Amino acid sequence: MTVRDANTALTRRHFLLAGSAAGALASLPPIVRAGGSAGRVIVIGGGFGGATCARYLRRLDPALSITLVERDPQFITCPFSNLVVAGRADLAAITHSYAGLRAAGVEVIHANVKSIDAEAHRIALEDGSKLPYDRLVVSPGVSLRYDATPGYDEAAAHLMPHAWKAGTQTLLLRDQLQAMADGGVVVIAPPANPFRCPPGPYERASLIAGYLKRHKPRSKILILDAKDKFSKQGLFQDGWDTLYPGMIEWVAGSTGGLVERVDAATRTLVTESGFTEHTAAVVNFIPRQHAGAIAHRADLVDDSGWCPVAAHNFASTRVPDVHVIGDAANAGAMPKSGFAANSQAKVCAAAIVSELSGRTPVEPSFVNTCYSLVAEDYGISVAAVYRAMDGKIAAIKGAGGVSPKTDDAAFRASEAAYARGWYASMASDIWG
Amino acid sequence: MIKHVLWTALLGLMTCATPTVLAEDNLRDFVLGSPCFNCHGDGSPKGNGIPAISSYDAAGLAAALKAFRSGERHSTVMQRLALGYSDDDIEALSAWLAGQQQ
Ligand SMILES: Cc1cc2nc3c(=O)[nH]c(=O)nc-3n(C[C@H](O)[C@H](O)[C@H](O)COP(=O)(O)OP(=O)(O)OC[C@H]3O[C@@H](n4cnc5c(N)ncnc54)[C@H](O)[C@@H]3O)c2cc1C
Ligand code: HEC
Repeated sequence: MTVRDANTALTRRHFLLAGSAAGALASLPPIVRAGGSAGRVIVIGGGFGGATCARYLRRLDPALSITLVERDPQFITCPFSNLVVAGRADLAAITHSYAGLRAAGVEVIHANVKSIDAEAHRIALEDGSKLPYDRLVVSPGVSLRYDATPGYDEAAAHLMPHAWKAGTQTLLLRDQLQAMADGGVVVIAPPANPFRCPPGPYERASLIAGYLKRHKPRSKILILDAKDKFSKQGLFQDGWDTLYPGMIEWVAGSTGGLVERVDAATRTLVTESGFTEHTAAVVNFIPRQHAGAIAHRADLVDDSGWCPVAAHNFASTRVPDVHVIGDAANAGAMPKSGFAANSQAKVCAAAIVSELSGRTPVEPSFVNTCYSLVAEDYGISVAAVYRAMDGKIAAIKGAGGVSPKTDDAAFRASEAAYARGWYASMASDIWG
Repeated sequence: MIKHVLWTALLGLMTCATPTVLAEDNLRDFVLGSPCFNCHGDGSPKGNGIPAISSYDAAGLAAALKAFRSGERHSTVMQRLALGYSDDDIEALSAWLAGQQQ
């Protein structure tokens, strides 16, 4: 018996343990319908998590009816939006239509989901129409917390863009940088954990530094961080020393980095109990975040602000027959990244297909890799493979980790090229 | 609206062209193997910077993953990823991937 056969045999035994005769199961059509209504899945959110889940549910079981409800007519990715901020790509390069998902057999409805009636198994759209589901997948991403830092509200975001949702905010930050005079100070203020894309603010600092080096070389970047350490820190700081010496200053939260309040009109940030005030030419303030608003309205969120889920299928532990994936979920050791959302979506799709056809749960396995560009030809990465251990998602020890410390420019250049390759493959896996 | 939903669902049923990966026991293989698409694409060699793996057969994939895992074969990221899979995982996901890409 080969290893592969052993694996298959094990899976079969699981089916038997589940109480259904494996032979009978194999002869059934893919979906066991209950009262003619089973097999309708609605996915809320057509981003990294939701679009992946819709596509793969469809692919894993073509008999399922899959409806994706997404507010916006097209999707603009946060990944690679830092290149847009730095003036090195346009929005079109990171914008994806839903034609590919439609062609794959997913029904796509563009509407804002207003509420979820878990008891009746229905969602309500803004126009008042209601859609029934057997299973609901919610992948709404994050909402920005305009209540967390005094002075930073929605109006302030027009003056101090967060650019943490891609689109007009991305262009606003780009335009402010382009309008800035040489010699200006750019402040980037990243939030406390957890937040969407842990290495994102530091990639942004890097690519903005590249822009300033080319066009406004007397300018500086000040990172006022709420945290005392950050993702891929050693690699980023090595890169900054090599590529942008003296241009980027990082201040840790406990030594004066934590921003306590802002005054958007004067672009001022107050730290250290009012002891220090920083006024800058451009401020990129990234507020704290929590699960997307619909998750709050549907009571999927606990006190942490995120949605607790079961590790093996991403089912909400609060509301039956609803799954939450992506940034909105509390996924244990996994970071809030597009790659992670995609990986969770595949596990969730497999779990829903197996549960709707009355099988035992599939043992999950997840992957994440976050590439960051320190410059356009200088890439670094962090990777991990995850399993469910004691009901929690944990990284497999001995695997994963960050790119090696090295002076080898060719190594960094190949990871920068791979970052672009990742983006192309990922986008086609999801929206292609 | 509801009518529209039903109609599209029916249409979808009739026009489904994508290969079905649902067999009775390969959901686990799918879960192990499908994250590879995120970097390598799903079979069509698009030459996007990361080498395509669509021409590999199961044995070739498994051998490559094991060589990355041991460090015998140089890599930027593949060793870090391959270390997360047992021999059994590698055999299963390689067979599944090879089957997807025919
Ligand atoms: C600057 C930056 C750089 C990044 N770079 C990377 C990277 O290089 N690699 C990486 O892996 N990740 C990266 N990320 C993180 C990545 O963008 C997120 O982790 C990912 O988008 C999460 O996917 P999601 O499905 O949870 O949410 P999203 O992708 O945000 O999708 C949510 C969708 O739901 C829709 N929606 C929400 N509520 C409703 C409603 N009520 N009704 C209808 N539709 C609704 C929204 O319109 C949206 O389209 C980056 C993030 C930032 C900010
Ligand atoms: C984060 C992106 C990423 C993921 C995920 C990934 N790979 Fe790779 N793969 C690469 C890169 C980059 C290379 C080139 C070697 C290197 O530098 O690591 C590569 C090389 C390979 C090669 C050799 C290709 C050749 O002909 O040179 C094989 C085979 C391979 N990967 C298989 C897999 C399998 C199987 C998986 C899923 C378990 C996988 N990869 C997941 C990025 C990835």
